[in-house]
Amino acid sequence: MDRRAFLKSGSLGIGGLLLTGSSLSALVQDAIAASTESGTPWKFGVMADTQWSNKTTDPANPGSCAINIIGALNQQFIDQDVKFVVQVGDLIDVESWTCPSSYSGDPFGNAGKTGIRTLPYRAWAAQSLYDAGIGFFPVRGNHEASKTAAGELSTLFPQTTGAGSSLFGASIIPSSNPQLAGLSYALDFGNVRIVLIDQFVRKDGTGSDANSAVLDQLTWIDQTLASRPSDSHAFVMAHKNLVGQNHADTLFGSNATNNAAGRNTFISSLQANKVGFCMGGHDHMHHRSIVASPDGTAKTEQIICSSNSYKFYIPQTNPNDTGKKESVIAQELFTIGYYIFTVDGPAVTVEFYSSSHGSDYGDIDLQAAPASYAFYRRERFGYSINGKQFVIANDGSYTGVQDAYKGTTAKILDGSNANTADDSDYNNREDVKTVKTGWKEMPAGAASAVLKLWGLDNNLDLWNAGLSGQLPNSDADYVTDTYVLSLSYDATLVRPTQLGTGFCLAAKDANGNWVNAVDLNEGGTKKLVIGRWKSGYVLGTYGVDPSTHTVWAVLNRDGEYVARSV
Amino acid sequence: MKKTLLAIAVAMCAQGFALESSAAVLTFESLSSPDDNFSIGRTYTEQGFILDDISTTSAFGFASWGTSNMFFSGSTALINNNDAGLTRLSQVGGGAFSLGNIDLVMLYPGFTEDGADVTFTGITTDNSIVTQSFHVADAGVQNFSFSSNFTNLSSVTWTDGAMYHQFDNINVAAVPEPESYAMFLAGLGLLGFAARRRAAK
Repeated sequence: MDRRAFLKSGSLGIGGLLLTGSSLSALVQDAIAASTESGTPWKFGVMADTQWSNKTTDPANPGSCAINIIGALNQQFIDQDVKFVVQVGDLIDVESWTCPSSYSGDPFGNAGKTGIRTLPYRAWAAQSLYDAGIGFFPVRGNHEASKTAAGELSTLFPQTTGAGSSLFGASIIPSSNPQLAGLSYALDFGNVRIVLIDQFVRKDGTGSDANSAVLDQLTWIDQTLASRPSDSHAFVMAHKNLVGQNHADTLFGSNATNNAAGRNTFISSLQANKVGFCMGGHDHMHHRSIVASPDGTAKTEQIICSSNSYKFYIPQTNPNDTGKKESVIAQELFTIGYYIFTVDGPAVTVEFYSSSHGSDYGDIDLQAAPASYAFYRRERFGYSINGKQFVIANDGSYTGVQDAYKGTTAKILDGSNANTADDSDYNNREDVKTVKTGWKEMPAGAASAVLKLWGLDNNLDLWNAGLSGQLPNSDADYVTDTYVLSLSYDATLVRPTQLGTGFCLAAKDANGNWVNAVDLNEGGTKKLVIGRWKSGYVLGTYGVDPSTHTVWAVLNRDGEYVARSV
Repeated sequence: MKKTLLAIAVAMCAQGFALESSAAVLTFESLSSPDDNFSIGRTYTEQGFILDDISTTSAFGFASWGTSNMFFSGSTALINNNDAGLTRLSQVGGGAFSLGNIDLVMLYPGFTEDGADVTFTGITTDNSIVTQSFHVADAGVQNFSFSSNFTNLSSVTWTDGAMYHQFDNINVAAVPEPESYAMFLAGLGLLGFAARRRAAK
């Protein structure tokens, strides 16, 4: 229950009005904790670089900060009912600014003044989140890399140190280095821990080499990840990435191979600690990939966050991944986007939303904010702490996908990654699919645990600047390769007379209702078989096999499945 | 006295003859219902025979498709409504019987491409075991005849196995006990004795 819901509920509303602010805050935090512990799904948001370059004729975006885009995203986050938002750096374009005298509506009344620090503008732009009871937790980027900015951050965003009134239920684990207080920190909320890494000049002026500033933090990062409860999620976020697409410089140095030992340690730690995603910004594009450690012993999934800025980078013609450590999953260029993480107990589903920058598709440096925004859900992916991951290359079979949980076994019986060479990124690197499984307990009325399945749908590839029109202009279709999914069931819970009269592989529809899984297919013909799956059954065929106690279906969607009557 | 003796003799013969000829067909038609499907419980009795659901995995008992159900075979049949359901047929109060034939049909006719194998296991009165398997195709009602081994049975069990089926029209016949044969013979003797006495007079 968040503050809004808490007050709306009325159960403590009148009493709450009589409490002091701190008491109310404590009650709200307790309510949030109770909510998350009870397993109610909840959300948080992630955004990235908010630089703005037009500093002289665009009063809508003062302080070199993309105020207009931030406002649009804030509203999205409010509408999505997130608990907090993380920004992975580059809060502003330049740290100091001259406010044109014509900016009479400047929120700080700075019109005509020079040498104005700009980070306060970014802090000011977060107010609508705070007003909605939503926390905002930034980490620095290279555009606010100075010692001065290091000192400003924890003042402007005291929640990064665990202080102030804008924590909204979050708690902070500080860096082991006092000079990184409020800069590198871990954020705990519900069953999630996010470790945010600062790689820029510290409060005392140390850490001036961004190429190595992460190295003395590796022990703290590992310990912070390892010390969290075993049933909680972990994410690592910084401004720079493991392998950049436009920028050669990374979290570990000036190129994607620098500091190999540190990379080995870091990626190994992320794998060992089951980190869901390693996220960054810096490249102003949506890009998702699997990155292996230089020694090849560990992997992690990297998300480079979409632009929230005036500019949109293009990947280098010759990829920065000279060590061939990256397997691309998805890429979308030239769009304004944000991320919604839905935490549902052990499972996390991530949705990437993006909007056109308001002009014909392609690279552009915006001089003014888009006239309007139309955000579409472009990708949906996820994972579960209690699941597995399978990387499937082009033409690779899905039949190795198999997982089990508390007596329920899920198998993909048939199907393959039907991608073609056209399913690739800007550099024609073929996409892989990352099929992930996860589980929830058997719900009432079901005869199996609930399987969550991600990653079989079409890879997102939107990068061809030759395309025209304002893009994107639609949600992803979420259609997958055709495959056969089977799920075992507890036969002692099912009457044989139920099997042909509604008992099936059921899928959760968009309204949260269980329906026959094949009803969610795109196309196909619905047909029941009592017996085992056989090669040649077409899309829409579904069955119950009493001899193996499995339900199965020929599908072209992924999602959430259970064996039950519908 | 003479009339009484004759009546006793006739009664003893009739008793023995009645047991000798107590063939029956268990049709389950008394259960017929327009409902979609319905539960029956774990036991069902018809014409002196009892069917028990002795499944160990679950205890949903027997069921039947109602006449409105798309899987209704045209005649009310019984379903053991458990996975690996185990059904036992015996006489009420015990007693030997023979099994002639039975109608079997898939639980979901038309939807079970591979059909099903159903194996019947009988225990005879001398505790020997007889078995016979039938393959039920995914067609309509099929009649299966048991071998001559299926006589002098104290019980017969069969299981759903990998696929489920309906059963109907079980042709059974009680086998008279030795005492019944003795009574029949004694009755005949009495009748003969009575006839001789009448002839002697």
